[in-house]
Amino acid sequence: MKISFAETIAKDRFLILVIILLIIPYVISHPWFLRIATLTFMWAVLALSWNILGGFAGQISFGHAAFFGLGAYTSTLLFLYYNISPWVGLFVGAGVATLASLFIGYLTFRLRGHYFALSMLAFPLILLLIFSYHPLEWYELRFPFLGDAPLYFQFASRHSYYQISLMLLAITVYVVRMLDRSRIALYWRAIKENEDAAGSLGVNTFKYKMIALMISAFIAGALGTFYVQYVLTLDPHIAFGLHVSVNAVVMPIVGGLGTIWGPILGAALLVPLGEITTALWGGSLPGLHMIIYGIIVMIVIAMIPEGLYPRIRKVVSFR
Amino acid sequence: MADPIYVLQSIATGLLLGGVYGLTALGLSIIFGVMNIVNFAQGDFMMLAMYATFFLYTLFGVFPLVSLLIVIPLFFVMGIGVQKFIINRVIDKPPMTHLLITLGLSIVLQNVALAIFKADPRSVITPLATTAISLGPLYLNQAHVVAFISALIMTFIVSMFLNRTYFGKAIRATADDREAAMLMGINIDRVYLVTFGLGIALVSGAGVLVSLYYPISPAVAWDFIVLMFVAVVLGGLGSVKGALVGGIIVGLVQSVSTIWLTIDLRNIAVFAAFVIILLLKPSGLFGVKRE
Repeated sequence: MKISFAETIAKDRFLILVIILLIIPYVISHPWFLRIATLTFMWAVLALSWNILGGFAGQISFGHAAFFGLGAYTSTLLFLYYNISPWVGLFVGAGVATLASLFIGYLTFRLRGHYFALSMLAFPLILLLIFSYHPLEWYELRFPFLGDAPLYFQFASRHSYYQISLMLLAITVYVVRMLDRSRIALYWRAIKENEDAAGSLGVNTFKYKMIALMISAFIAGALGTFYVQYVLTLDPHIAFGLHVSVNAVVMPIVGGLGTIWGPILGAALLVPLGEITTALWGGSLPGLHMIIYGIIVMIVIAMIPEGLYPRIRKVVSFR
Repeated sequence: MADPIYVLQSIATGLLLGGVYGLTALGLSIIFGVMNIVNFAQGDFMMLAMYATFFLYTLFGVFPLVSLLIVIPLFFVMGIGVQKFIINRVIDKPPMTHLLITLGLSIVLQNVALAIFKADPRSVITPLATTAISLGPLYLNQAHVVAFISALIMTFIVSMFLNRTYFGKAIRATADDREAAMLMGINIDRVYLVTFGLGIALVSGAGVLVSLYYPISPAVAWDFIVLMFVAVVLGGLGSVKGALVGGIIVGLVQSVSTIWLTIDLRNIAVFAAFVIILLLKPSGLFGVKRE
């Protein structure tokens, strides 16, 4: 049976969503909306990248900020020292993050389960300390404001950042979807279910875990550059702070571990929640927005341990 | 090369701090060993215990060592409450849910503390912190010595409880094999309640001791929780000896590293040592199974 092009598009719910999201800013162009949406797309990309390792391959990691931060710092330093465009830095940064992931994975994949998760936590912290006390004073870097310089990743309109982050999300979703349908996803699933059994059946578990980590690190590294360009400032806590690693873990699990829609849903719930509560109480009552975040995470996970997306699937069965 | 006296001095200080790190990690280790739960909020309970010590001392003049007698039972009950009303809801769910629920709890506790106590650090200033005991050429801070000795006594008591008492044996049996323990008629729910209470009580005791020499702030947990993790991953989760040895390694590395590094960078040395030990001996110091 031949499927026409139009039908393929109609069947691709994600593509429809992207098209709608591309149109929305022409209707609602409030800067606050653009900000929340841009950040949601961004964190969704980070959540999706974490989900490759944590959701598909079953290796829960608390160190995702290491890759995000390395990407952010690489492109920033390349620009500030060598005037290299962040567009190039984005790829170099992703490459550096991937190289780091080879080293980190080599060390930590010897460990399993909780031991792996906890060991990964050490790496962003090492980097946080190194960058905080670096003799060249890297603890607070500011990007010069260039105005409208698309070649240097700066745009006059906030709308452009919205579009770029949406494109990053779209690319990530298609990469993840491709991975999910590939043979490698079967190996990952086998490792996730039972690593020893997978190994005894001839699956090179180390190799496939490493591949998951490298892809995961590459995407997180690339995203680091986007985030710096969006906020135009960088310090070790923005790059390697715990909130980066925590969000990367929490969003996919709240949304639905190992699914494609889950991490996106997790980001779409928690990012606007965080932004709204910060805007309401961030100045007057320090801590309140984080208390709400923590309570929501606890309630969702206690009531819907499998995550939002699988539960929605169960309740509303699509067609 | 550094002055040998100075090296000896750092080793002594490291040992003293390490014994207390061992106690901070012990509760985490026991909760993990018995319930297979990594409690991310462990450091935040320690932070709360530090505030309790601070207010008992400044408002009521209760000396920190005396406040152990108030704080430990209080936090034991608090731990039981957390287990009963929060952890127990997800105990049969996959491990991810345990991680997330305790992570959520940690975020809540830390920010509740921030909202109530504000971010500025406070200190329990006792005469202990400013006096030193001289031991040959070495000078040992009294607060460190008192904390170290108290930590060792508490570790010893817990070890005795687990090894010598009937309930301690029930806890260890549950850690070894939950199903078999259940078949032997052990009340698993009660074991879990006591284990979690004990884990929180231990870390609260550590909090009291640490506040003798460490400033208190809502985010103080993050100065300790990662060191606790390092200590237990090195020593093996679920073992009293492992937590103590892991803690002492952390303390020694931190302290000795200050011969070459500035004090801000001492945790880099800890993490580097952690990475090197993982590299050389992936099965951990005692070759425990890491599943």
